Amino acid sequence: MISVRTLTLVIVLVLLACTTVNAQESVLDRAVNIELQSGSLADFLKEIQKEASVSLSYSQNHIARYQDLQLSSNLGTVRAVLEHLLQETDLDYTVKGRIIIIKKKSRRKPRLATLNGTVREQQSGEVMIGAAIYIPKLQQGTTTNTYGFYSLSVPPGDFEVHYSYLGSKSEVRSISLRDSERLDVELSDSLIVLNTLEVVADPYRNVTNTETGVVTIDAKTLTEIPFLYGEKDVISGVRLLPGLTTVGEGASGFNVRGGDIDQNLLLLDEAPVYNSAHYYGLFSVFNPAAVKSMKLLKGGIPASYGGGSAAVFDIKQREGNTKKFKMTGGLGVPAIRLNLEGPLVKGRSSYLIATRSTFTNLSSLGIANFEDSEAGFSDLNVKLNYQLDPKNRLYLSGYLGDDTNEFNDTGNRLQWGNTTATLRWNHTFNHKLFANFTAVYSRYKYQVDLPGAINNLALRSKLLDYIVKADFNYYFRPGLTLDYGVNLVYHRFQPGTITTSSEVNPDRSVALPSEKALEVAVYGSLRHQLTDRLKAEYGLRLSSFRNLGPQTVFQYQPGQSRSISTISDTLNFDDGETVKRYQSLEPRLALVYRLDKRRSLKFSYNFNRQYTHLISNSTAAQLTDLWKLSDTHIKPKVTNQFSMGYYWDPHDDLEFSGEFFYRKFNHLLEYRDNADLVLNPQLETEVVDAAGKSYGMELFLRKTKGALTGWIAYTWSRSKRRTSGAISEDQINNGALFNANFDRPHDLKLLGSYRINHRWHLSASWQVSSGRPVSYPDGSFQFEGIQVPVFSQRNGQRLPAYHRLDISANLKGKNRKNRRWQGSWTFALYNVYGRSNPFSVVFNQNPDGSGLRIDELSILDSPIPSVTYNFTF
Amino acid sequence: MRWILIITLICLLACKRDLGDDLPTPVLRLVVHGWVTDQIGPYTVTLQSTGGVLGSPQIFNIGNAEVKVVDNFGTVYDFLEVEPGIYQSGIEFQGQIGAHYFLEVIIGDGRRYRSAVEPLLPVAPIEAITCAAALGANEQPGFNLGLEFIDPPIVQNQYRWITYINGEAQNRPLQMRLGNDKLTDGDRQLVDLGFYPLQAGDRVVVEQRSLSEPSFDYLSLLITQAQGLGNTFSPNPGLVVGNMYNVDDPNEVVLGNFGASAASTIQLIK
Repeated sequence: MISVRTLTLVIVLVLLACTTVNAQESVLDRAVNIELQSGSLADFLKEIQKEASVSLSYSQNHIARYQDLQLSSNLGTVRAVLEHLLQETDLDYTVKGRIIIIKKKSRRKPRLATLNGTVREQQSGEVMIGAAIYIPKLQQGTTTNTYGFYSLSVPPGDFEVHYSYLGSKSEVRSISLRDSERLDVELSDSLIVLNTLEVVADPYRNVTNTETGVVTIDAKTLTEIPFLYGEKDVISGVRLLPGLTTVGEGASGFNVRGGDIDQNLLLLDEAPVYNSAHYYGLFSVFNPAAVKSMKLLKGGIPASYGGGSAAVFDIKQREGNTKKFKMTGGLGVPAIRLNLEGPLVKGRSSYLIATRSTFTNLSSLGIANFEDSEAGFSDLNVKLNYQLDPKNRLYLSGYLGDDTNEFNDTGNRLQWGNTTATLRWNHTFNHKLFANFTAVYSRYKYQVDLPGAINNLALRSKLLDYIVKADFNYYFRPGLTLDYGVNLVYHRFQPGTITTSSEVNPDRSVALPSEKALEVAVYGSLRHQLTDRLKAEYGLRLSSFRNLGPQTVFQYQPGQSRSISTISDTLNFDDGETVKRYQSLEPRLALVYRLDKRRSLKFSYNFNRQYTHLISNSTAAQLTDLWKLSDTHIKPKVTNQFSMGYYWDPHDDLEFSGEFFYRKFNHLLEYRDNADLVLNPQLETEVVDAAGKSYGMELFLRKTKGALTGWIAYTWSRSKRRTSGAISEDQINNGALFNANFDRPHDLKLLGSYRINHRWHLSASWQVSSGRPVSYPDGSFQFEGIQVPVFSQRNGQRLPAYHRLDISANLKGKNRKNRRWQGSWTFALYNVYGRSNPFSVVFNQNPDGSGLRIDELSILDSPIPSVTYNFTF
Repeated sequence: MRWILIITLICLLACKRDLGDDLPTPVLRLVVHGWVTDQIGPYTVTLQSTGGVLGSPQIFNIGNAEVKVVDNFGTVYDFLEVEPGIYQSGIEFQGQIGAHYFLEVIIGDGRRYRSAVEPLLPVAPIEAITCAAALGANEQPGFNLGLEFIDPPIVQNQYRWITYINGEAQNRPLQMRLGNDKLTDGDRQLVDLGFYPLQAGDRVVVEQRSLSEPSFDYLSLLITQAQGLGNTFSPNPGLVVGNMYNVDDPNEVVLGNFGASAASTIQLIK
């Protein structure tokens, strides 16, 4: 349940949002009819005052010398007349309230006028994130923020302003900018004419922005990737990018630059998502039809983000078409999809409803280990937005997901899902200050039912986050923007309750105590053009974390390994009492030095702290793995990362980047051999503190335009761990370095997409990487006739190399005028040559008792064809 | 020709190497197993080495060792080698509930090994054995066996159940049964012993043993390891170490475990 405090805050935010500011029509835009054709400036000003009913303020001394001015024609507005009259004088004008003040031009500092507004997509009315705004005459530009807002302060004058966005037609607006002005622009989709797209504004964004290790995939790129069962998937898409690895098919999440999967902060409309897996990770919970933008930050992470100590995957949901009703959907092998969107109040408000549901038993699709079970998932994305006025907009979005898997032989049943809700209020205080106020609710829960022949068991767990935050962007001047804000998170983790029931005994419940914590952070970050060539983004984040009671904390004998037998004391904390406090200053820095217009060098440094931990002792994360908050014994994870790169756009349709990174991790949690994590109230006894390091090189060459698009991504990297305990019980591999589960030194990914004509489109992707580390036994022994393997080294060997080819073909229906229904087919073949990539190896007893044998486990070991139909109405 | 090349390439890509070639060179380690109960002996201690992994494991039995169990009164019970690597107690030694024992071994080269002290904990009597007709794999007719007993309240208890069919212990990894009263302390316990294709006249004996918590943990891990790990969500394998250690060199990895149990039994003639 949402707490009273959170509810109160939400209501206050809503009430505040309703108190809108009436926009004033600028007095400069009033019509004026001046019949006087020549005279003194004083005469003209009096005429303007009289004809336009405006108040003018000026000093007679300043205007006395201008006695002979001409006005050739009636120029229409007060602004135009003043512009004309003052253009040859040393005077200028400004507006204060409803009074126009005529004053001398400042000689010390040129006055700046601010152009601001919102950039939207013409067809749908949705805001565009990262659209470029550029004034060639001044060689100055900016980009829209997450909410489509931009602000650009420049000297007054007459300019052409170019608005552009990859995949959209550019817009050029002529503007006579004298004072602050709002200009909202709509850009039309140009997917069909992409080959001839002319991106005028800042065409070398790859080279000029300060972002290192940032990858974005747009919706169009997702259509060009061949997916399993033809089901477009956000996480499978980003896994094709450099620097990302996974332990194998069927594993949820992904590993970024040597970080564990819990070190990725997954945000859906600013709500954290704790489990991104549908059907154990073969699909993700992010419905591409509801996704507007995806940004994975693995290098430079701005100070506005906290908690993701390896990467931030920031996903924004679409807002829905503000102009007309639209229905899209599709039917594939695993799921049926339906998306509805349209205006609620035309031009001001829209909605989006996107839903997916499996209609076949996923376990029947030939996936190892799950054949004898019934599995399915469904999810629902909803978003509403309402523009109160040009300066205020409200958004309400939510996600509801559900997975179930029931095993026929045992009757075991698993159920899990995320729920999120986000309420946002965008407010433009003035032309330089933009704010976003957000309230977030996020829940992840799972339930495991294990009916036995005699006893029934049920395990339930729940994670809750309540978040309120305020984020501000202040645009000082071109090349200097301040982002600042405050963020408050209340965590409530209920790690597990087991209920037993049987015919002869009453139901019993055993629950681990809930964990509570309050996390507060303030941040400030400057985006700063230091010189013509050097641009920086630097900031600080101050985070404070308090683990709260009620709680029982065990103390252990110093110098001893933590275990039940070494408990020396027990401390009890009351409800709300601070059990443990951590705080930290997290510096962030990103620099870009432009060598020339096509090449740049980039550098970034990040210090991140993370207070949540996923404790798992399995190869792939399980839904029953435990999430834990930092406490007395489990310290926050710390990541220090250095990254530097060379960025080069050798051609207008080619982007290249080569990045090197080095990461040092502290306070990672490594499970002890054979850790018992189920309902263990002393989890600190099952994990040991570990340090880690990862380093590597990522090369990425991407072709963005033309009939043939795609990329080549190669990564060489290593990720290692070392336990830091001084005593042998707290060490793994005797304290020596060992490979992380997902360490794959070589990783090559190729994606090619070829548009034959406007109807046919072929794609292929090929991945090859080193096999992941595994533990092999270095001996065996006998116990009561059973041969038991001896595993003494963790992750000392490797599985064979992984490689897989996937292809797909897209066929669009014929374009017919006046026909709203448009269909398309996707034919996909996953794992074309049927490579049986082992996920792991199992050392099983031979049935005849002759010792052990090696069995390989592959998840998808044969070619998987599929056909998908999509439609738009 | 081009197609032949492409098909050949595809076949090569789909090929895999033999994983057995990647196994590390076996490391020889001492493995000690011994168990004392409150039933009439003799009790057995085995001393072996670890062997290879695949095929015949080439395990060495360690003979000519000095093996003894010592109780908390200082009484020493010697074990004599009856077969290479297998040592047995004399008939005068019978474990006592409430006593504590440890095992000491000195092997031929003088290395001394000892176990942690193990308590011989009491065990509740079995109240009933249940037998319900059922179908096993491939529709094989048989019976689901179970037993009932009342767990003593307040104290923490760990159990092992061993099923004997016509005198033969059913000890395949999937047949081994362990349990504790973590969630059901003091309750009537119903234990599922599994499916057995019993014939008329078969004699079923079920033995219920008490375990100390460390011995319960050891056997749990051993069974998990022996059942084959490596499924998508199974825990990563690790070294299963019991309560044996080298007295003079604590860094030596010694495998195996010494345990003590009280036992209660029940019998069923089908």
